[in-house]
Amino acid sequence: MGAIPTYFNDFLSKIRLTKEQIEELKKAHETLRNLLETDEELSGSIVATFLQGSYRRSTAVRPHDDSHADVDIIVVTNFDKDILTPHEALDKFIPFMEAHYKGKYRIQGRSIGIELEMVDLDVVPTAAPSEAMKDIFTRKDTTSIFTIEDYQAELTHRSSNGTSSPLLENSVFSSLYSKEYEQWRDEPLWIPDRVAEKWERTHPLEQIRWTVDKNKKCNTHYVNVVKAIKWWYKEKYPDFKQPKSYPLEHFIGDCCADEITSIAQGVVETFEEIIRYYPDKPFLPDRGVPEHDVFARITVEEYDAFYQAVKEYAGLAREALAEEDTYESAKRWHDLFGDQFPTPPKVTDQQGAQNSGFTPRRERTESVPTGRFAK
Amino acid sequence: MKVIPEELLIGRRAIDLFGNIELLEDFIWSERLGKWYLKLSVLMESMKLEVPPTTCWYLTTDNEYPRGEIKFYPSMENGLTVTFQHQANNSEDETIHGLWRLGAPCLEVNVQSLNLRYVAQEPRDAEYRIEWHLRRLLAWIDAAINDSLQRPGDAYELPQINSKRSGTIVYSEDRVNVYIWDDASQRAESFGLATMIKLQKVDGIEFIDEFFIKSSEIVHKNFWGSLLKSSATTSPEAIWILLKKVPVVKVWQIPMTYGELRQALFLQNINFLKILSQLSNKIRDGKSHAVLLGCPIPATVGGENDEYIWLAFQLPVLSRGDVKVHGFRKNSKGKGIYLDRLNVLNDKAELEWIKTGNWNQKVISSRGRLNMSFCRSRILIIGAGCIGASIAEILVRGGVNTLGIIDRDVFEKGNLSRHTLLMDDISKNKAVQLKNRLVRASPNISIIAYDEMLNMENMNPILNEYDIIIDCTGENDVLYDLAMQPSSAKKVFFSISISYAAKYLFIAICNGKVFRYDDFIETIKGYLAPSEEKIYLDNEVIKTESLGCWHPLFPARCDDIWLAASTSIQVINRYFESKDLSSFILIFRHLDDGYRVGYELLEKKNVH
Repeated sequence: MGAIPTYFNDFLSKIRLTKEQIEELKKAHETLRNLLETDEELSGSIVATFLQGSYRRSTAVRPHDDSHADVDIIVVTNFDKDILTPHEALDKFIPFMEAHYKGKYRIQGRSIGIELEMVDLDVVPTAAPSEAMKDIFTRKDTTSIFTIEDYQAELTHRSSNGTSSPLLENSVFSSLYSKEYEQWRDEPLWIPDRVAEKWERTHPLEQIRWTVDKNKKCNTHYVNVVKAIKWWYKEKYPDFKQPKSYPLEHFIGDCCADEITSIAQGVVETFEEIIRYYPDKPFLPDRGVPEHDVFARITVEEYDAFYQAVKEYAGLAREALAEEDTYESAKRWHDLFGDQFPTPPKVTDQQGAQNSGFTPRRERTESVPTGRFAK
Repeated sequence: MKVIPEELLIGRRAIDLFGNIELLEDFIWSERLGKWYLKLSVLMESMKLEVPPTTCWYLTTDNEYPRGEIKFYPSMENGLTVTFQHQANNSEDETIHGLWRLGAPCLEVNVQSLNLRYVAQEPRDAEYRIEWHLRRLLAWIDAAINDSLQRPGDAYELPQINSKRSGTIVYSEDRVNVYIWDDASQRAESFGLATMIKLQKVDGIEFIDEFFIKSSEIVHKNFWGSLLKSSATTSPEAIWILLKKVPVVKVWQIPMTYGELRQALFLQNINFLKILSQLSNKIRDGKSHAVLLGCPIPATVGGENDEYIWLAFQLPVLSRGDVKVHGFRKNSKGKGIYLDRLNVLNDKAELEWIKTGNWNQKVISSRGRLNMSFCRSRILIIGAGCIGASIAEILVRGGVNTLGIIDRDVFEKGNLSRHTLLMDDISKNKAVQLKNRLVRASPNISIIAYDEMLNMENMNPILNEYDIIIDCTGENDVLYDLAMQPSSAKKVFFSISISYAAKYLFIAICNGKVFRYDDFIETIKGYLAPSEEKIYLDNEVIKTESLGCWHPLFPARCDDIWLAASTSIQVINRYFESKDLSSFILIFRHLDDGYRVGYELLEKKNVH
């Protein structure tokens, strides 16, 4: 009973990126892509650009404060990683940045951050992939901005209307189980690590595929469990930086059980799984790049703080889920997630909620007089 | 995509209160319907064939929620397909989006099946209103499963009929007629033809007049008033059939096709086509006839039959028997039926229901009626001036049956300020025009208008026709005449008049054969001036109607007149309610003090 799905629906609609933010992200991406394609210096080196990251996987939450929503943009180049160093690869973009994003960009360890008016871009250039992969990266469905939740919505629409949209057919999500998957499964991309002075592997396609698969196993609740927990941590522990973003998402992915029937259940069981099996900071192999530790940049102190936080709130979450009374349940979820979680109405009449037995008359504080006629 | 209003988000979270209700699709705005709609499923244990354990519904609301309408409709997919009691006709589909059927359960009705489960007044707040409807829906489904939607003691509710045809067929039925029809239903044949009357100036309404059995035997006749009696137009006869109860199929759905009708009638041992064939020569005339179905219904479920209602549908034009059909002799009745069954009366052909209404006086007066024995009396109003006209209007609307109005005067423009007649009536006789107006206020009223002055010659013949005489002339001479000529039978005489500027209201009531003139004059003496001139001279302003015409006016506004008339009617009604048989005179004074309005009783003088 404590799953209160409609309440969770409304909570999630408050923590997803806003329509304006999404519009801005799309605009920013398109602008960048167009500029790159027409740039004299760089256009020859660009294979493709595509949106990746939590936005694409539908695991992005709205920024808590006034900070900008950010999106990752992968720029697949044909730089030879054996010839160019990571440093040099990033520097190749400087003239372009100077020309188009002067004063707004910043070279970071593995990417170029661009701060626009409403959103932030994180431009991650990659080294040249194999020829076969080049084809895949230039395909429309890979570079599209179709998110997992968009895909989900199209599926529902199709099943109730019987019609299919072209978006569905051409989506990378549907090709995930095709034989092409065999091809690209073992082909990660190389991105620059300026600090470590070497090229590193990353596999955004595999991350997406894994998420789609997990979401399916979890009856579409997985991506929402991720958002909910991300929000909880930022809400309750605003000063703690890590784990957040992808590392947090990845950890939730590993801990969340399959076959959950509600977001609420997912949150509770993920917390309990963490407490039971991960008292110490684990090594989390990245999707498609198993030698990589997703938690590499998280310190032991940071993980311990996180672990304690989970321990502190797991009990409340379990209580909320177990509560039969909607009011009591919603109150506890509200305590867990903060003000974006809807508050239940002041007085609810729970007797008879199971539609058996006599429901007594409920007194209301203000009654409206009846019996006036004018006709 | 319209954003779901916060109130609706809050309201539909009530779904989470119920373990057996699941939100399937969240609110979507339909521009064409002007509604928000969402889809949900309800799980309930059911052994009833017509109600599967899981039923899907669409909930629709207005954008102004929590104001506006809330309805649940059975989804096309996995929703109810039959119609139960307290549900709109579920045989039709919503055609704009094609997602649901139109059989919305009536959840606002005050019936035990719903109230037992969840009483409470419907809340008007966003948080609670949808919740209330959800609870009522669950109660309704539960009652449908257990056959307990209609319980003894509930007000009886008919299955919903959507008549697409314009026009109404009017009948007159009450408790007394039940005996007539019950008798008729015992006959070998309880069907026949009925004559119909159309009014000249009133479009779209047809009144049932006489019910015939066989060729000329009248089994029942409706007694309509003056307006219908004087109407010249008749319409094609209708076919009437007595039923044992309201015809329904698929639990509680009115038949929508000829197939369903035949099925419903068959369950009552009535063969519809056989009846048509027996009336063949009368109805195969190239015209379209209505079919009237008379059904006895109780006032409350499980009670005795209270009234017969008439349902009506329009039969299409039937074949005329001049077409050659193999296997049938020329003109054989069977051939006609055979043809019709193939064509216009085939099982899938839609029944064209017509709206019907019971215009019996009891029904028309259901919001309030004057004392019954008073209503049944024959009432004469002497004087069709502003007082007489107002009194006549209240009487007709109050449900009296028989009225006479006598006045010689002609209606003038100056009367417009406080009379009920209109500009069309100027220069015409007041009594006649009043009759013309009032017969259109009631299908049952009978009115005779006398364009004459009451005098010694015509007084008795006219008065003999009436039981109650109401003088509204304000003329002493009339009262004198009423005192001088005793009537042959006892009557109740009323005299109603007001003084200058409506300051006093004089009501005299005399039960007997004459009016008590002397007592009346003696009583009112103290309140009136000795002569007419003195009245006008005593008052500061002499009002005349227009310059250059010295004709003293008798001031009183419309509200003064209506106040006087209403007060008088209230007195008269009380007189009859209390079965008072005495005679007396009442003097009322117009209250004139701040906001104290109305008339107060100043004096009651008994007359022996």
